[in-house]
Amino acid sequence: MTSGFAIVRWALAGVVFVALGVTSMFLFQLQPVIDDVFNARRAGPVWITTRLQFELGRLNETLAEFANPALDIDPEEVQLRFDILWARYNLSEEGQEGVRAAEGTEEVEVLDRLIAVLRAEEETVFSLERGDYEEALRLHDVFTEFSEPLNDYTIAAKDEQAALDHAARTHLVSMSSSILYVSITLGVASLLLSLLLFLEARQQRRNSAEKQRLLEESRQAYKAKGEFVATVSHELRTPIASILGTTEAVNSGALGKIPDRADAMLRIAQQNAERLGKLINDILDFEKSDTGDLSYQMEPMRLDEVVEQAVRINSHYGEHEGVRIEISAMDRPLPVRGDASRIEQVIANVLSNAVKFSGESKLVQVSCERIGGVARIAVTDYGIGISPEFSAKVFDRFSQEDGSSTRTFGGTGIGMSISRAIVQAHDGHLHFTSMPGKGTTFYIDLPLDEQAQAAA
Amino acid sequence: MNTAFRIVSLTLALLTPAAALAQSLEIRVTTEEGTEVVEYTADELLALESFEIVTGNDYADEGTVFTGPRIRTLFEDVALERDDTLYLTALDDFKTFIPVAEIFDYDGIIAVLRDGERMSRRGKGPFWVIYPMSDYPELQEPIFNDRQAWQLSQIKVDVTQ
Repeated sequence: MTSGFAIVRWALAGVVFVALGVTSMFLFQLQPVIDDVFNARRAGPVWITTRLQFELGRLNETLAEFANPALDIDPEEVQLRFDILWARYNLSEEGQEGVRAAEGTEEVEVLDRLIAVLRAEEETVFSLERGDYEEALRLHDVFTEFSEPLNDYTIAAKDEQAALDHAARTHLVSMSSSILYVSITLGVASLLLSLLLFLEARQQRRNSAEKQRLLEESRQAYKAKGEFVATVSHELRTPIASILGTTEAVNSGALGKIPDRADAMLRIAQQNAERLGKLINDILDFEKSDTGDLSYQMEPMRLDEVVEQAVRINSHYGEHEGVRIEISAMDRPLPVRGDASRIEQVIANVLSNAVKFSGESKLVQVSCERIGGVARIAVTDYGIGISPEFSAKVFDRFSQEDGSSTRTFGGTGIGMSISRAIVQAHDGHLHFTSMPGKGTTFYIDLPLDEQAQAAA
Repeated sequence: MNTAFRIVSLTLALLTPAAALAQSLEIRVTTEEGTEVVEYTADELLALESFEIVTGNDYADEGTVFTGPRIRTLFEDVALERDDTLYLTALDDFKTFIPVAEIFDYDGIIAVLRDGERMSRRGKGPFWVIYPMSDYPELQEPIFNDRQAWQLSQIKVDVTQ
C-alpha cells in the first residue's frame, strides 16, 4: 500500500514539475510576442507610411501657398518640407529592421519612383526664389501625382500591419490555449497529489491507532504474564518450604535412622528442592526488578564483611563443585550504604557463575579494594571466558551463552539481569572483562560511604 | 532670464525667422512674467558644455556615439520643478513630452552630432533627444523611445502651472 502511494506520489509530483516547466517556458516565449505587438503599434508600417503621406500633403500645401503671389512664402519653407519628405522616404526605406514597409506588395514601388523624383527635383527646389510661381506649380503637379499611389501604399501597409497583428494575436491565442491546457493539467495533478497526501495521512493515522492498540494489548498481556508468574511462584514457595522442612528433618535423623540408600536419595531430593526454591526466588526477584518493585533496606554497612560472608557461604557450593574460592586482596574497612542482603545476593550470583564456568583451573579469586571513591569487588575465574558475540547479551534476561536445551550449565539466565538492577539501585556499576579460553573478571563497583568514612 | 537677454532673443527671433525655420532649436519658456523665447543654432548648442552618450535606440544601432549639451543646461536660468513637463515638437510636427524629473535623473542630451557628424534633416537631424538607454535598464521600456524625438525643433515649458 505504502509503496503504491509512493510511486503514484512521485509520478504526480513529476507531472506537476513538468507542467510547471512547460508553463514557465511558455511565459518566457510570451514576452517577445507581447513586445512585437507593442512595437508594431508604436512604429509599425502604418505609422511610417502615414507620416510619408502626411509630409507629401504638407509639401504640396506649401508649394500651393508659394505659388500664390498674395502669400509671399519664403522658398526655405518649401525646402524644409522637401527635406522632411525626403527624411520620411528614408524612414520608409529603413522600415523595421531593414525591411521596407509593405515590402513584397506592388504598391511599394512608389518609393522607387518617389526617390527618383526627389533626386531629379532637388536642384530645382533649392534654387527656388520668390516669384518662381510657374516652377512651384509644376512641382506641385509632379508631387500631386504621388497622392494616390501613396494612399494605396498606406492601405497596403495597413494590410501588412493587420497581418502582423493577426499573426501575433494568433500566436498569443495558441500560446494562451497551450498555457490553459498545461494549467489544467497542473491543477488536476495538484488536486490528485493533495488527495493522495490526504489519503496517505488518513492511512497513517489509522496505522498509528492500530499500533497504539496493539501496544496497549501487549502491555496488558505482559502485565498479566508478570502477575501470573508472581502468583504461581509465590504459591510454589509454600510447598517447596514444606518439602525442604520435611527432607531436612528426615536427613537430620529426627525421625530415626534411615537406610543408607534412602538417605542418599533423600539428600538428592533435598538438593533439588533447594535448587527449585532458589529458582523460584530468582523468578520472583526478576518480576519485581522488572516492575521496579524490588525493595531495599539501605543502611551503612561494611562491604568487606559482606564479601567475606558471601565467600564463606558460597565456599560450600564451590567445594561441592570442586572449585576453590580464595580472597586474593581485601581493604578494610570499606563502608558503603546499601542493602547488605541484596549485595550478598549479587556477590553470590557472580560467585556461582564463576564457579560454574571456572573450567579446568578450579579456582575463583575474589578481591575487594578501594579505588578512588569506589569500592570494587572483583571476581575472577580462569575458565572458558565469554565470547565476544555473547558479551553484549550477558545482562539480557533469560540469556545463556549455550542456549540449547542440552546445555551443560544450569540456571535461568536471569541472575545477571537481577544483579545489575540491584547494583544500579545502589548507584553502582556491574561490568566485566573477559578473554575466551583465559577467563573472566566481573566487577561490582559501589560508591564508598564518605560520611561513614569521615566519622571513622 | 534678464530683460536685456530677453530683448536680444526676441529681436533675434523677429529678425531671423528663416533660421528658426530651418536649422535652430527654439526654447520657449512661460513664467509669471510672460513667455521668453531663445533660439539655439547647432554651433551655439555645441558651444555649451557637451556630453557624449554611447547608446542605441529604435532608430540607432547599439554603440552609436551622440554628442551635445544636457537638456537641463538649456534651462539653468529657469526654476524647473521635478513635476513640470517639457513639451517637444519635431519638424514634422510630431509632438511628445518629457517629465522634468527625467532630465535630472538620466541627464539626457540634445544630440547635435551622431558619431561625430552633424545630422541632416533628411535623416534624424538636426537635433535629437538622446537618453543613455544603454546605461539604465529601466530606460529599455518603449515609452522612453517615444521621448527621444528626432528632427527636434522646439521645446516648450510652462512653469506657471
